[in-house]
Parts: sequence; C-alpha cells; structure tokens
Amino acid sequence: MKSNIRLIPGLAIYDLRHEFILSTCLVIAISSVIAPLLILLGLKSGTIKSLRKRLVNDPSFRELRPTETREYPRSWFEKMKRDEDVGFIIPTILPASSTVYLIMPGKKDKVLMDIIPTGKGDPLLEASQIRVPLGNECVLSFGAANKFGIKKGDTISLKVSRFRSGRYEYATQKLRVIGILPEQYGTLERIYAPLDLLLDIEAFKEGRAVSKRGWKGSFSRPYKRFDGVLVFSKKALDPLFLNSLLIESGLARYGKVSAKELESNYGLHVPEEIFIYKFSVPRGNVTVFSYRAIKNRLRGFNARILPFTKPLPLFIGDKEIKVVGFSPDEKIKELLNAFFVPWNEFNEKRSGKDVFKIVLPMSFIGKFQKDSKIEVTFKGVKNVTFPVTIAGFTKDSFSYCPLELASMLNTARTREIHFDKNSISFILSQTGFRGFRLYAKTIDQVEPLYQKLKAQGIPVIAKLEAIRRIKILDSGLTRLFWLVAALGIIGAVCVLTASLYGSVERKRSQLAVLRLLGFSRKDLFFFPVFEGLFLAFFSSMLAVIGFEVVSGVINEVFKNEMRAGERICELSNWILFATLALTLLISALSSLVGAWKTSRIDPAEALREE
Amino acid sequence: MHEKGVQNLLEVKGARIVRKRQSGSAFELLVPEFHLKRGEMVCVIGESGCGKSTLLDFLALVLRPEEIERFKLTIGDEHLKIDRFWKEGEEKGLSDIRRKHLGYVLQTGGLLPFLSVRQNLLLPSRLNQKKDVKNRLLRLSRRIGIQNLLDEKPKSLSGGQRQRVAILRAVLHGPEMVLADEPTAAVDRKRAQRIIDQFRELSKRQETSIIMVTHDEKLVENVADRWFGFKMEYPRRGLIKSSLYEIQH
Repeated sequence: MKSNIRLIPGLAIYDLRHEFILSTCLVIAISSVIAPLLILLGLKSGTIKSLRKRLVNDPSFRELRPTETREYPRSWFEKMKRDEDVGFIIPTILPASSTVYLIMPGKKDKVLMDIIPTGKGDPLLEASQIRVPLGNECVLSFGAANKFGIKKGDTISLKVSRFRSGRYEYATQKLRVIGILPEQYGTLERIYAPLDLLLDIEAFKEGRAVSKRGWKGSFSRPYKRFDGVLVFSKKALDPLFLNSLLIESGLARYGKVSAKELESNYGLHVPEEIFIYKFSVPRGNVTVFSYRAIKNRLRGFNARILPFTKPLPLFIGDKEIKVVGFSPDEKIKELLNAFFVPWNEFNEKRSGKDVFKIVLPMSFIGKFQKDSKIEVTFKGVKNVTFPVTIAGFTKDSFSYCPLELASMLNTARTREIHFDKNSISFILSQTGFRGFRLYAKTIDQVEPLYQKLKAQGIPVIAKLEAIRRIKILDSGLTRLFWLVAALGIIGAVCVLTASLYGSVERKRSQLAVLRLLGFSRKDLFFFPVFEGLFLAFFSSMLAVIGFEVVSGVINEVFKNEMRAGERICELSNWILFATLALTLLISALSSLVGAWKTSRIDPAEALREE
Repeated sequence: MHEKGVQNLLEVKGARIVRKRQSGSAFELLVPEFHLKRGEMVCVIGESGCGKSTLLDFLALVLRPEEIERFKLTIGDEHLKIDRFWKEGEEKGLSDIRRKHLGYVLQTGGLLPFLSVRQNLLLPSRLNQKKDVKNRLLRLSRRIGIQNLLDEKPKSLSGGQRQRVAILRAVLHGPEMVLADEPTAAVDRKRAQRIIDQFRELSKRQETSIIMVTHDEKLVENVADRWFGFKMEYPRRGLIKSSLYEIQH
C-alpha cells in the first residue's frame, strides 16, 4: 500500500481555506514580520549598493597615485601588468614635461594644459564608453572641453616649448578630439593622448629630436664601445713605453697577441714579423676617448692602431653570421691585405648609410648581390633589426662591418636601442619612465595593491578611507540587520509554532477521524507541516508585495537624493527567493511541535469524543 | 454458533480488554465469544459505562486487548489473524485493515468540516485508491436522498442529513464491516427510524455486516439479526467487570 501523504497537501489547503479568516490573519501576522525585514534589508542593500556603485563606477576611487617622481624600468611595468590586483597601468612622463599649450581651434589664444597618457583598458575611457585614442587623436576632460567650447570631432593644436642654446624653440602637433569625458571624471583641464605622443613631447622638451614628427634637436645615439685596441709595429716596442700608453688613457692593460690568434679570432692575416699588442679593459669596454688618447701618443712612432670589437652574432633571417667590426686605414689594409673592406679607418663622425654596410663571406655569393640591401637582426637587450648594404665579399669565414656599426651594437648588448629609418641611425631607447597612472581592478583590490607598492618602497596615495568607510558601514548595517532579523525570526517562529500547535489541539477530533479512516501517524505528521508551508508561502508572497509597494514609495521620496539608476531601497531577486526559502524552512521547523502532537493522536479518540 | 453454509466474517474468542480510568479504577471487558456473518446486522445494547465504546474500540482495531485467544477476519479466501498483528505490534497492518475493510458511523457523523459532502464521501475511496466510485456515489446518494447536498459543507446540513452522509461514507468504499456508534442519537425518533432503515438497506445491498451500538432497542428490533448485552460485576472496589453475551429473543 502506497503512502497517503499525497492526499495531505490537498487536505491542508482545504482546511486553511475552510478557516479562511483565521488563515488570513495568520498570513498577515507572519507577513508583518517578514515585510519590515525585507524593507530593512532593501534599505541596507540599496544604500550600500548605491554607494558601492558610485565607488565602482568612479575610477578615481580605484586610482593609486605615486607621490614621488623616480625612474621605473620597463620591466617593472611588465611585472605590474601581470599583477592580479592591477586593472590598468601606463607610464607617465615628468610632470614638467607634461605641460603643453593648447591652441583653440580657429583662434590664436593658447592655454596651458596637462597632457596625460592613456591606452587600452584606461578605466576613465571605459567608464565613459570612449574608445582609446590612437596616433594623433585625443580625449579631453570635461573641464577642458567645457571651458574652451571644444566638441567631439574638433581638431586642436598642441604647442610644446623648450629653451635650448639660449633661445625658445617650439613644436606643434594637431590632434583630433574623439571624445569628451563626463563631468564626474574630473573638472581639471586635461588632454588624454597616446603614450607615444607624451614620450615624444618629453624627448623634445629634453632637447632631443623627434624625426617622425619633424621636431628638430639632438639624437641620443648609442655610445661607441670597443673591446680593445690593437697596435701593429714592425719592431718590438719598449715595455716602458707600452706602460706609459696606459696612463690616463682609460685603458688598464696590454699584452702581446700572436698572428695566429688574430687569424683564428678575427680572420685577420698578419705577417709573422709584425709585433701585435692588444690594449684593453678587463670586464669593460674601451671608449672612443681611450682610442683617441693612445692614437695621439703613438703619433710619430712607426706603429698603426686599430680599435676592434669581438665578433658579434647577426642574423640574416634564421642564419647566424659572425661579424667583426673592422675599420682599417690604408696602411693596415696593406699590412693585412684587407682591401676587401671598402671603407676606411674609424671615424666617429661617419654616419647614415656609410655605417650600415657589411662584407659577407664568399658563401653568400649567389644568394645576395653586391650593393643590395638586406635586413639583419642583432639580439641584444632587445632585438633590433636594421638594413645593411652588401659592400663586398671575402674569402674569410668572418663577416666584417664598419667599426662604427659594431661599436654601437656592442652597446646594444646592455642598452635598448632602435633603428630610426628617417635619420638612418641607431637611437638609444628610453630606459624607464618617471611615473605611472595606476588603477586597481576593483575597489576591494585597492588596499592590497597599496600595500604591495608600499612594500616595494613606492609611496602612493589612494582613497582608502572612503572605501574603508563604505565597508564599515556595510558591515555595521549587516550586523544591525541580522540583529533585527533574529528578533523577527524568533517572533515568527513563536507565532507559527503557537498557531499550528493550537490548530492541532482545536482539530484533534477531525485528525482522529482521519486516523480512523486509515491515515497513518506518518501521514498525519505532515498535515501541520504542509499547513505551515502554505501559510509561509502566502505570507512571503504578501510580504514581497508589501515590500514592492513600500520600497516604491521610499524610492520615490528619496528620488532627488539619488543619481540616475540608483535606488535607496532595493533587493535582488535571489534575496527574495532566499527569503521565501528561509521562511518555508522556518515554518517547517516551527510546525514540528504541532506535527509531533498530531502524530500522537489515536484513532480511538474519534470514536470516543464523538 | 456457526450457521451452516455461511462463513463467519469475524470471529473473536477469549478476549480481555482492560481500560484504566482517570479516577484510578479499572474497567475490564470480557468477550468470551463473538462472531459476525457477512451481511449480518448485530446490535449491542446496554446502559452507560457498560463497555459499549470499549467493545467498539476493540472491534475497530484501535484498542489492543490484554489477552486474546482468537480474532480472525475472513475476507474471501483470506484469513486475517488480527490477534497475531497485535502480538507482533504491526500497527501499519492494522491501519491497512481498518482502511480497507472497516467503515465507521459516529454519533454525530464524524464528517470533516473543511471538505464538502462529496469530498467527505470520496475520502475513504481515495485512501484506498479506488477510482470507479463516482457513479456509485451518485446512485447511492440518490437512494438515500442526499444527491442535492453533495457540494455542501457539513455545517450546512441537518443532523439527519449528516448521519446519512456518514452512513454512505462508511459503506461507499465497500468495506466488509461497518461499526456504528449510536448513529441516530442526535436525531428525532421519526428520522432515526428512516435512517436506520436506509442503513440496513444499503448494508444488505452491499453485503456489508453491521455492528451497531445503541441504547434504543425498539429502533433496531425489526432490522437487527442478533442482539448483544453486557453482564456487569463489581468483584472489588475500583474494578468493574463486564462480559459480553448474546441476548436470546
């Protein structure tokens, strides 16, 4: 025989409907406990949500600003970008360099303004739904656009000034305005532009040229560094004289080198009778100054001087070749039979295409032609690819390039350089940056990020207090809510328990009849449980309706104090569902006393009490 | 005691039922021998406190005897040994037997006030998962004149109507035996006679046996097949002994 529990929910519903007034009173009583709790929770949730929303939506709460200007290497930025707490980071330039003149469209007036770097993921742009400016584009702050009446789509001009060699110099750059930030993201007059433009401005302000923008100035060329200087002499040189060459030359030692050694290491063929001396600096480079010093001192002696670099690895596609920096004068060419090198002795003023030449081994004949250009790559701190002209071929296994080129590539082993095709030269890349714009991913990650930077010794300022205040308010209101909720729940449990117990006592004879008709103790145990669940369900529904009505009134009353889209009293659907589930659970638990009492009713009571 | 050719539905032998009263005294009911045939109507008569309700509780399987020799219910070929159920404490088995094979008519009907007359009538059938009773319900309700009351709630019925509904509820799911506890106590004599006649007619039609407790002999003298009474003894202070016996007419 199957259990007759299936009939119980129907009987419970009929019974509740039969006692409609009593059931309604009970539903109202329970919903009177739930509805105020919902409103309290709604107020707490709405207030905190609105405050959090303001914090979350306003990226300035996620910003951490450095308080000191210092050098931050590129590697530090790479590391920070990978940090889980970092939402956006971009280098900035010196504050003094980030001030530019903005020339009003169609006017001659100019005003000083800050220029700020921006890039992909900038929270200010994302929050404003403005795309990232590229090339010669920019975004203006509300303050800048409003003050000067600039609109999206306008073109503005920037004027950058510097004082060099006793006079002012200017550079200009036109920028198209692709967006205006909303007022809430700052009223300061600012231009947000790609980092490249800011770095160019900084370079210009520091006196350097920016050839891609046509801004004149000097270039930061890589230093020319040799691995040593060779001295060739037809007779042995006095050791005292050799030692005197070291004095105030920047060189630290000298030694004899055999012709064989020179041939195997550099592919240079020196006659056996020639004395070769190598001057160098242990674990260091030889500078142009040292070369000049030793050259001057050898003037009048029958000796030739040849600075050199060790063979450098260069890649033509995937193929590696060993290139020796070799700039011999005519006499050395004659001495070493090195007429395959079409360029002459080292000249520090040699520049442009005269530097970017190469002599390749004979094995490349057929693959490349003389005077053709090929791209080669040097793998230094960072790969640098540049064009070289094939100046000839040699039967040696080594390749040769002008020492001016090799000595700069020697620097690229430790410093980042890049090839500037406009000036056909290498330029030293910037090694680091002077500051940063940093935003945490969320407001909850501001403090951890603040602590991380503090641990690195980088002092920053952040709106930690505002975030903490919201968290304290949230936890305080949560505790207050649970305190009230606990009292409410206890009250609801008492009301339900007493009501259901009283109901069982009142209906004892009817329940006894049900037992007599064949319902088991277990079946009837669920009668008050189902009644409790139905009462709780209807109470929850009524409470939710009450909440919707009252919260609507509250939101209407406080409408003027809230921003668009904000509500002071609101609950998410999952909280409403959770409330329903919790009410059902509490009512089920509250009905257990009545259920136990029901299960003790004996069928004989029906016979006797009748 | 066995009538030739007709099998006993119920056989009870050697039962002793003890009930402790709140005053501290004890009441002991002895049932030396009792049987009931299919379709038979037995009336139990006696004054207040003689043990009528105790007998009914016992026969309704809700009061366990202190001693029992035999309590057998025969349904077709199936012999249900109730005494064994009691001995083994199989309450669920007893509950199933009560639901399937017994019907009850209580003094004021015992109708559930939150259900309509129709729902009250159908509840035992639903409990027994009998589905084809609706036509029978209409037919029988017409026969006893309550066909217009099916959608009413019990509170809107008169005493007589309520008892007729109770009688129909007791027999509708086709139990073998109906226990009736003074079913006409709350109605006047004229109505009571009519209700008893209808009850008997329904039970005959359904071959349902009836055990009716009453204090009004005249009401049942033309319908009952046999009568039982109680012989009271007071062996000592605080103990009342009552024995069931068949009254020979």
